[in-house]
Parts: sequence; C-alpha cells; structure tokens
Amino acid sequence: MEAGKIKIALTGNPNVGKTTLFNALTGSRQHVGNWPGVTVEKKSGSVSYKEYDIEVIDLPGTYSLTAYSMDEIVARDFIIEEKPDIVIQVVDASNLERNLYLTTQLMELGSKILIVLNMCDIAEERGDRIYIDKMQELLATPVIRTVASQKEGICDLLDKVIEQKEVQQHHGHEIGYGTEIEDRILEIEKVLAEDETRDTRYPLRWISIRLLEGDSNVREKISKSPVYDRVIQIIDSIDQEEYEAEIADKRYLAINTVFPQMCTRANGKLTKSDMIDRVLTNKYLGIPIFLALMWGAFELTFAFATPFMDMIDLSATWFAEYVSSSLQPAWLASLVGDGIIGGVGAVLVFVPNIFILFFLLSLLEGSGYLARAAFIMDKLMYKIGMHGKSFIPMLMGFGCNVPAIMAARSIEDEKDRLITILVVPFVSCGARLPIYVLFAGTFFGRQAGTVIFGMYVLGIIIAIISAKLLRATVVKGKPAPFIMELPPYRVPTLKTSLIHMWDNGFMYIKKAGTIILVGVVVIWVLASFPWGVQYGSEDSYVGSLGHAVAPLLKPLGFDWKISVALIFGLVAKEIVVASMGVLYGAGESSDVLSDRLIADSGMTALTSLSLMAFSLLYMPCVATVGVIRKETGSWKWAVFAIFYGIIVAWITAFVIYQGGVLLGY
Amino acid sequence: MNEDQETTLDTLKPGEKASIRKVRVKGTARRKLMDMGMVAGTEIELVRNAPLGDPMDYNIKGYHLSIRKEEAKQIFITKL
Amino acid sequence: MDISGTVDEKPDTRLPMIFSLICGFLYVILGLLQMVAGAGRILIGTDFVMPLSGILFVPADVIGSFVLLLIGTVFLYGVMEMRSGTYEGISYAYVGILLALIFAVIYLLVSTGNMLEAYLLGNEEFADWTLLSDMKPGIYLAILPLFAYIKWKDFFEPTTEASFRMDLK
Repeated sequence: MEAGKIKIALTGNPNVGKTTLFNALTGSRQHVGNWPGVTVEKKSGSVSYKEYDIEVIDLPGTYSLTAYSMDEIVARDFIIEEKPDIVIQVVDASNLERNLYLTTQLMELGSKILIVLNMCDIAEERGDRIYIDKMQELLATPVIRTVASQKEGICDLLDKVIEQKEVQQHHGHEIGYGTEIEDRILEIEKVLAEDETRDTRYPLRWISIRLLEGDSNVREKISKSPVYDRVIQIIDSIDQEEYEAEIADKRYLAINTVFPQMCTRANGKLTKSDMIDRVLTNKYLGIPIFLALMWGAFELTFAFATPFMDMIDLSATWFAEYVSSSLQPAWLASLVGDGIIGGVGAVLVFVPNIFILFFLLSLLEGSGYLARAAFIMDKLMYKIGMHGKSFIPMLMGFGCNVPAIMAARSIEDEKDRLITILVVPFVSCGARLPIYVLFAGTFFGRQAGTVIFGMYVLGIIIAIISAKLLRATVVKGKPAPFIMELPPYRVPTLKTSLIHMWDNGFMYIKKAGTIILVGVVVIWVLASFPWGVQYGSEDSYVGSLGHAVAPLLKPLGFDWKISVALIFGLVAKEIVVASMGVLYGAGESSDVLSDRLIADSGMTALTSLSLMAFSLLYMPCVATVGVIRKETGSWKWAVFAIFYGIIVAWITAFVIYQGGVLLGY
Repeated sequence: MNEDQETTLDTLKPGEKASIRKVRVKGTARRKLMDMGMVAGTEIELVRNAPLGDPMDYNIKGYHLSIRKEEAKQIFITKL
Repeated sequence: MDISGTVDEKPDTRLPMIFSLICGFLYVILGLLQMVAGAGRILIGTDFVMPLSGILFVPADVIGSFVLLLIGTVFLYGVMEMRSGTYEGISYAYVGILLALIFAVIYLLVSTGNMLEAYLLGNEEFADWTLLSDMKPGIYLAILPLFAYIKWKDFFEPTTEASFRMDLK
C-alpha cells in the first residue's frame, strides 16, 4: 500500500480546544477564542509526518449532531459524505460527561473515531481523575491525552492516527434505546432498505434514529425516495416529543453507566475559575466591575494608541508633501498627494486603535469573560428585543462597525443576528469621533466633552429604538432562548491574541487599501474636474453635486459645502472632516479650519449639532455596507440599512435643527 | 397533582440542588437543552443569578450552563 | 473519594483576611482622596489643591477614583464574607488582586504612551512630562497585591489541598 494520504476531521463540543489543536497540528493560524462557536466554517490544513501527508479539517464545534444550526449540519454532512479516514473528537477533560454525548452520536455514524482528551490541566487542577486505560477499554476507542496549548501529546496523536489508519477496525458500539424505540428503528430500517437508489453513505440505523428524533434535515434528504411516504407514516404515528426525550435520556444513561468507571470527579473543590466567577458575577459588584473593565479597555484603546497614531499622521503628512513637491505633472502630484496619500493616511491613522481594540477583545474572549458579559447583560438586551450575545458586537461597534458586524456571527438565531447587524451601525464608531471633536470643539468650547458624550448616547438610544422597531415590524418574534455554556476562565495565550489582532487589523488595512483608495480617487476626480477649477470649489463636479443635494438638506440647516462633505463621508466617515478642510481651504490645520467655521455665518452651534447627529446616523460607511451585504447574504438588507439610516438621520437632524430654531437659538 | 409535581427549575435558590423530571420547553430550545444534558434524572444546582436577576447560572454534569427564567419555568424538577 | 478529613475541614482564612483588610482600606482611602481632588477641580476650579495630593500623587480624576473604590470594595466585601465564616470569601481577595494588577498594567501602558509622546515625538503638550507625572495610587498601591499574587500559593492556599494535588502527577 502506498504510504500516502490520511484525511482526518477534528470535531467536538464548542470551546474544547479544537482550533488550538488544529493550530498545533498544522502550524496554521486560525482564530481561537474562549467563546462558544468561534469556528463558523470548516477549515483545512495539512501536516507531513513520517511518510504521511495528513490533511486536517477543523469542523465547527457542536454539542450534538442534530440539525438545529448550520454548524451542526456542516459538521455531520462532512463526516458522512466526505468520509474522512479518522474522525478525531476533541474532548474537554474537565467536562467529560457532556462531551461523551457527542461521542455516542459519532459512533452511530459508523466512522473510525479517535478521542483526544484535551485540557487535562484544568481537570487536574480541579482534582478530577481520569483513567485513560479504562476509558479506552469502555469506549473501545483509542484515547490520547494532550494539552494542545502547550503542544503536549501532538506526536503521540499523529502516531496513533497512522496506527489507526492501518487497523481495519469498525465500531461495534451501539446504544440500545429500549424495546419500543428499537422496534420502530427496525421497522423504518426495513422500509428504507427497499429503496435501491438510496445514498449508501448514510447508515440506515442512523437515518432511522434521526427521523424518530424529528430531524428535518434528514427528512428532507430522503424526501425523493420512493418509500418516503411509508416512512413518514411510521413517524407520524409516534409521539415525537416523547421519543426525542427518550432517545436523549438513553444516550445519557449509557454514558452514566460507564462514566463512573473512567472518571472520578472532585467534589466542591473551589477552583480559580469558580473564585473569579463568584466575584465577577456578584449581584452588587458584577456590573461595576464590568463597567470598570470596559472603561479600562477604552482607555487603552485610545490613550495608549495616541503616540502611534501621531507617528502615522506625521509620516503620512511628510510623505504627502514629499510626493506633491517631487511629482510631475501637477495633476498627478495633486492626485497622489492630496487625494491618495491624504485620504488613505486619514484612515490609516486609526490602525493603532483597531489593533489594540482587537487585541483586548481577544484577551477578553480568550479568558472567558465575554461569555460572562453576555450573561450579565442579557436581561437588559432582552428588554430591548435583543439577545445577550448581541452585546459584544454592539460594544465592538464603538471601535469599528465592520468587525462588530462580523462578530455577530456568534449569534446562532438568524433573527437575533439580523437585528444586531442592522443596529450596530448606529453605535458611534471611532471614525465619527474626529467629526465631533472638530465641531463640538469649535462651537461648544468647554461643553465639548458633554456634547460628544451626548452623541454617543444618542447613537445608543437610536440603536435601542431601532431594535424595538425592527422587532415590531420586519423581524417579528421574541429573541431566541439564552442557552449558553459559561466556560471556565483561562489565562489567554499571548500568541493567540496577537494572531487575532493581526488578522483583523490587517483586514482594516486592506479596506484602506481597496475601498477607501477607490473612494478617495473618485472624490479627487469629482473635486478637480472640470479641469482648471479650484480644487473642491463650487464650480467643480462635486460643487454641483453639493448644490443638487443641498435643497434636500436645507431644512436641517446644511448648505452646499456640508452637503459635499457628507457625500464624501459615505466612503468613510472620517473623510467628512478632511473634506471640510478642503472646502474651507484650510488644508491640514484644524485651528485654521475652526476659525473659518466660526467666521462662516452659515455655521452656527445649532447647525453643528444637527450636522454631528446627521453624521452619526446617516448611512453606514461603504465598508460597513459591504460587510452587511456579506454577512446577511443579500443586498436587500444592505440597501435597507442605507435607506433606513438616511431616513432616521434626516428626521433626527430635522428635529434638532427646527426644534432649536423654534426655541430661538 | 400534588405540589411537588408542579415544582419548576426557576424556583430553585442559589446552592439548592434538584433532579430534573421533565423538560417541557418547546421548539429547538428543547433539543438543545437535552443535548446539553437536561435529561430526566440529572442533578442540577443553581449556582447564582446574573446580577440583574436573569438569566441563571446552573451547574449540571460538572459544567456551567446559563438559561433564562422563561425556559427554567418550563423545566420540572424534584428538589433534593 | 477516599481521602477523608479534607472535605469538611474549612481552611484558615486569617491571613487573606488581614491582607484584604489592609488592601481594602488603602484603596478606599486613596479612592476617596482622589474623588475629592477630582470633584474639587470640577466644582471649585483649577486652583483647588488637595492637601496631601502632592506626596501621595493623587490626580484629580473622578473616573479613576471609582476604579480605586471598586477595587477597595472588592477586598472589603471579601473580608465581610470571610468574617462570617464563608471560606469562599477568599475569592474576593484573589479577584481584588487580579483587578489591582490589571488596572496597574493599564495605567503603566498609558504612561508608556505618554513617554513616547514626550521623548520620541517631542509633542508640545507633553513638554513638562516626567516619569513622575503619571504616578498615581492605582500604580503604586498595586505593589502589595503583586507581592500577594506571586506568593499566593504559599500563603493563601490551604496545605491539605496542596498535598492532595501532589499525587495526581
């Protein structure tokens, strides 16, 4: 036999360290977190070990192989249809009983199983004892002990994989479900076997059990079979809920009969994780600590980032000047200098914020605290028609809406997820801050801080109202039940956090290099043509565009210049400030711009307030729209987000401006 | 029906233990709860409520599972 | 579980209790000082000077004072629980230590940022910045918790558990 390829699939409960093991095996850098459900799609990598090429596929974590979420269907279809040589179930040693539930289901699938006992360190800290030899014997499956985060036991595992590949063992273990159910299973199996055209990859017993459990995905799979009607007849004759419970019962019963022989669980020893939980979810201290930690995270994101932002700012300015002065002809110098470097530079300035934000989020996630944040905030979120898990994406939104919307992936329920995605853009991201700083600073002097804070609050209020509104109209129904595992706290690994930071931060840089680059070139063209006009003046295309839109925005107190700035801001909100600079001929200096804004009779404190509110709410930036389209899978919701945003912004700004005028400001 | 038959999971106080009798939750949540170990005869302990009172943090089969009161009300138990 | 005698015996909590009491009071007192300094700055104006604030490096920072008070409260909450005989009260000492260290690290990082501004970039706003400008209670108070964190196993963990753990290896 050719010493060649082995295909292995990693499966297991969420949060048991599959991805860590995957990284340890393949050296790949997949995102790992201590938050159930991080791996959304399957990922593959490979490793060469002794003459073998081993392909490793990391499947999404699942608690069982039923079909209530996409993840589970992905995992089980892969195992059945792709027939990997060996299915490796990663098992959390500190949580053996529930993990074995999945094992019982994998055994029914009839594939070669190998169990990896991971996180033994946590189990041992707690005082649990696991008898691996006994476990192998009882489960009739090889069991390997690893600590994936320390790369312990990886070679043992690979040796075992190769050894198992050669063994022609097939799994004999099956769970008996009691006479009544077994009779039904036999009955269905018999009917199904009559179908000559059936897909033989699926074990008959497995299909029968699934059908009895009311698995809609399996039902659909056999819907073309000529015996379908007869099968359904059998299924309809039973009390499905009763069967469902009975089958789950029997599985746990089977586990319970073998479990005490392979593991003794320490009782009541106070672990570090219990200690931390006792305080962090304390009735009185839980919320203050949560707020303090969030404040700390934002303090770091903004204060610690400042010198790095200044460095980028200085280099961009220097580079733009250098290019402008050394390039010929003039239009090219203007395009590269004013347009590309100025525009992209304005966005790259935020890279340090984004990097730090992701690093901190990864620490929170890896430590297990994010799950507690959802736990602590669920009641509040539920009240506004959202899910506890929506809280984290909303929080990330303060940094940047793009990753925030991606973070909504961890929400299983489609409706909950959709609402979160649509509401996140109202959370005031870092890019909107420069707008507030400029206008509040110019027109509100000592009250600037309060005004800026007010903008953040306004964003949150609009988000809450929108969530309620969406729940009442487009996305009807109640938030999905909150059923979540609170994983034990762990010390997050620096490497994982750095990888997470780099991957997500790099995405932001890529955005600056693509969407925003295109955006700034378009703006430059519109502002410079017809050729010969003053850059960004009334006679340029952009000037005409501003004049065309201005009547619509007049009731909000905006003139053509603001209209132009707002149009530019569609690309990325930070561009609003940059284009005001251009339109007022103030260049890079914000002091000059402030003076000119005050001198302009069209700009008052009231207009600036209206403008800040409008910038906060009107359509999400291009990158956000793009990610909404990608994450919801359709343009429908992206377009909805655009129009909804514009309408909300217009109404809010109208109320502020006209209300202010009425009150005599 | 005596009083004991009516006891539901949400009436448990922190530190109290119970044995699960029946899960009456509907829909996909039912399946999920069972897969997570909420089957008849399982011992369950309320560790604590969230700071705002809901959801709750239960210890079941040696791990922490958090669910809302709303679901807990539909899970019938026998107090231990 | 055949190791009898270790289950019901509640370990001694005197040491963590004394430690928490000291830390709790220090954090609460400095938190209050900082709050008065911050509130005074807001209510009275920039010429308000807190007595002692110079020697103790107390900045006029209200939000920061909440953090100090919070850490202090966590410690004292633990003292209350331990006094009433709940061994689990030791959790508050542990988490208090962690929080104290986390915030000290945050302050130190922010301070590093300021240092870069002052010395590397020569930012005018940071012209008078020295290493002591960012010194604050949140940083120096953490020395005690840091020590406790390093020595946690020796002092706070009951010895019976340690021997129990040995035979696992």
